[in-house]
Amino acid sequence: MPKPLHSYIWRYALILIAVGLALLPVAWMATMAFKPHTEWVTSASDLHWWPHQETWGNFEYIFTGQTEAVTVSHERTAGKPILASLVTSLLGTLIAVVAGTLGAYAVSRFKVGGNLPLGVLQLRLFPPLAVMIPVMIMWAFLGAMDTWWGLSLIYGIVTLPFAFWLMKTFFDEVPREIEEAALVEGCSWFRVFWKVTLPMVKEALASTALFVFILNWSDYVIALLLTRKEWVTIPVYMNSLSSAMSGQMYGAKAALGLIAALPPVIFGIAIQKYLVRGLTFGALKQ
Amino acid sequence: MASIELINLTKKFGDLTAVNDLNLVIPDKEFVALLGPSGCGKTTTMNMIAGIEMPSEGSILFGGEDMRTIPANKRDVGFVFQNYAIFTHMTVRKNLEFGLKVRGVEKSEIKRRVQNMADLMRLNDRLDWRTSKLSVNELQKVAIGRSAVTEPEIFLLDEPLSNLDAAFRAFMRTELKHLQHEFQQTMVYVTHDQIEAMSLADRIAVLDMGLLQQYGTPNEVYNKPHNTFVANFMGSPSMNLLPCRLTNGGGDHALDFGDAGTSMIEDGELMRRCKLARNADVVFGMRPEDIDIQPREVGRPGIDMEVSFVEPIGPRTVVHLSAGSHSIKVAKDKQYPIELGAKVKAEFPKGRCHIFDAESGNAIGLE
Amino acid sequence: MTKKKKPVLTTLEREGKTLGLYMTLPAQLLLLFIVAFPLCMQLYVSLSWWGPLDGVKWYYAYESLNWFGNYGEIFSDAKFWGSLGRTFLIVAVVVPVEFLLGLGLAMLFADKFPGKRVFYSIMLMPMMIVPAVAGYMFFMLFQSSGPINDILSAISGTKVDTVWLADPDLAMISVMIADIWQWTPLMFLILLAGMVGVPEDQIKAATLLGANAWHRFWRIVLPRMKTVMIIALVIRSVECFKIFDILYVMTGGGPGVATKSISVYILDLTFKDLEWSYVAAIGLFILVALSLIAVVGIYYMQAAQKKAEA
Repeated sequence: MPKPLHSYIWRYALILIAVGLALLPVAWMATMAFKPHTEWVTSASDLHWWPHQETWGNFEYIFTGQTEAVTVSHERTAGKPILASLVTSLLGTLIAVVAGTLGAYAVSRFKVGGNLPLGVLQLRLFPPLAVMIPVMIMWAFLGAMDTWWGLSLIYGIVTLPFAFWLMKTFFDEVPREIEEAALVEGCSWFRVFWKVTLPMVKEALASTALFVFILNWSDYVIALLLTRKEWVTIPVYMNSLSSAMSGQMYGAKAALGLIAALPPVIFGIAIQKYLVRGLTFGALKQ
Repeated sequence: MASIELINLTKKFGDLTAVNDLNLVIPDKEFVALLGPSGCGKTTTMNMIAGIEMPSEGSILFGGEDMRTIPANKRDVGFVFQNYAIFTHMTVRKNLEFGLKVRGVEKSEIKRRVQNMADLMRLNDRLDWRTSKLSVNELQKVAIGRSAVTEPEIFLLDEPLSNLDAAFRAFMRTELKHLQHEFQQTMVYVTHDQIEAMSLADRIAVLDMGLLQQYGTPNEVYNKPHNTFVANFMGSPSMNLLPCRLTNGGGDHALDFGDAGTSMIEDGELMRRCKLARNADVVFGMRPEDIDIQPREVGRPGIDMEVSFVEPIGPRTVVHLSAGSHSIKVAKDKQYPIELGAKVKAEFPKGRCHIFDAESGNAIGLE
Repeated sequence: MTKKKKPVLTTLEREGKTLGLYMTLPAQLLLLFIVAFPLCMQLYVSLSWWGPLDGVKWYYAYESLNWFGNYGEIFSDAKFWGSLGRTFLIVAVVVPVEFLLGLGLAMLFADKFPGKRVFYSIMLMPMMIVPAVAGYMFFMLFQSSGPINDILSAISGTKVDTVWLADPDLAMISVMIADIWQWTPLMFLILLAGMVGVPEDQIKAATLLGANAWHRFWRIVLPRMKTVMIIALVIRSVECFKIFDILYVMTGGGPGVATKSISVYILDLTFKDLEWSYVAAIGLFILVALSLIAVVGIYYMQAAQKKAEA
């Protein structure tokens, strides 16, 4: 429908403001990550966005524990927390996607599973902190506290609802005729699932996995409760990255924050078209 | 006054020219059909009249007034969409009320006019139904009623009957005609169905590839097609078009159909038109219902052909004749007594023949 | 009344059902593992005074059994109600603001325009940022010598050096701004999906019937988006009630208790006060309350749906 020119000007003006506000905090962190120690804290009079002297020192510091300008060294580097975040997020994703996909197919096709759909949904309703006491006791009992597998297991469980509901909507969309054709050819149900249906939802499965990975990677509170030292993840490690002597380690934390922020942003853009579906448990489609 | 004038109207989508330099005057209170195959630019033309799309060039006048700066919601045209575009979240009544409400018409007046429209469209017992429960036929009535209730002077319909079953389509045709008499609007009707166009319209504009092919009364368009496209598009079965050569043997003109033989021209009118032909290659056209089938012994002009197929289609019988590389269809009464393989003569009666230029496809010598 | 006949299953269907049961097994086990046993344990522990420093294992909690003592305590626990109130305040402010901003943004993005894809991707970025990292971003922004004050100084022309995170009210506002920044994109995303779902033909039809932009939005677009709006509001409210990461990183619940949400309160009880049996009781209390709200909500929604269909 034809529109007058001034409506375009208004629209672009408003969109640019919104985009600017969305970018501002990220931009500050991104430039902070490249600021040398002397520019971390500044008096308001010489506050500047772009570092006067760009440096990789902050990254050096978080990975090696020391860099020239910073006197306080840090004995625990970011290597292990990054590894911990990666391992637990990946394994958690694996658990959620495998259990979710199998369950979703069964519920979508065979109408079995009873309360499973609502059961997994309710996992999302409650604040994790309200139900963590028994989990902490159980984890201590199982020796799962502060281990890679303990954290992975709980990640797999809390993101199961997303994997389940997303995959269910994808399976609901697969035309039955194709499966029926394969059944008529003499395939068993499992072969149909494995050889016919699953390849058809390949792309959806990959998107679901990325989506679940983002959620696991973004966790803070569960890692805070179930890890102590060995397997702390990036967010927990990041918050511990200040010391009494050095005060806030702005640049170092910003560098780490940038590293933590990158994967979800990249993956999120990659699976844009499924975000609505994922975030609303399949209730809405884009 | 609500005449519609389209002046040098052109619409381009990138490289594609959907409507090309269209000039058309639709007089007040007339029913005009825009007829053509899909992709001919008829819907684009309609959208430009309504203001949904802006022309690339040219202008549109309503009653002499330029519509360029008037937005779609101020043009006061009724528009019926092919898929009806019913507001599915509203009841039938809310749908009918919509146009009046947004115009700020008084409540009691809205009620009265909606009631009238419901009576007219026979939607009375459906007024408070949700539209999701309606049949396609009822949706159609709601769509027309919703546009008509605001009593626009210009009424545009985009293939409104194409989704209906055959019986209801026939019913709606009379209903539409009736509606136009009632409200005296200027109606523009887009269709690809030539029968619909013929039966409804005062005038037909035939479009192809964005170009206006012919504009005239149904009678003119049917009986005096300006070119082979119009000739072919109007009528079912469509006009027989036979490429042939104009020969000039011994002072007499004849049509040489190649391996199908030749036919002398006795028709004075045809003769006159043939003389105007610049070119010896022409296309000879004849409507299926105009051709006579005679025994070969009768010595009148025509060509000898053989019955290759007989198609009884209810009210009529379509006889397929062939000779050499040519074949034609002849429409006859039902149960027409003829046998497959019969050797007959196809005779072309005077005054019913058409002759077109082989290259341009334009009719030759039409006044 | 005739007895409802059991449908006769073909061999194929029966095979399918059997396979289906096996396929749901992993998910069912995980669910059982995280719901059934912990719930019993939580109930059991919540009925005692047991804490992790008691020197006895949790299953000996019956030694300090006090039945509903913990639950009684909830009602007289001013800190609990205070943090619950603050949490509700955050939800009540943040969710509507996010909703309105998201709706406005969705309106801006509803039509096609050059650059839409790029702007759209940028607008979604905030919600992809790890919440704890987002919290840290805003922690930096709101420093007294940070960029927010810098920008405010530039706009107002006078030097602004507000200490945002140290003032109870401003700290709360800062936290809310951070949450709004992070989650407005979610509202935007969902509402935009609903908005473009409105058939274009109906918009055109409304226009041709004389509707201006306001009529079209108010009478056609909005009513059609009702379900989408409810979904967006419910999801955001539920998630916002759990607010923790952003808030905890920014203020740790402070200054004092100014921004202490229910999640932060529980965390403090767990790690600082080590009153695990009380935490278990609070957790169950919240669980039951939320479940009741959910059940009532679902009931009303189904009733409304039935009414709409009739």
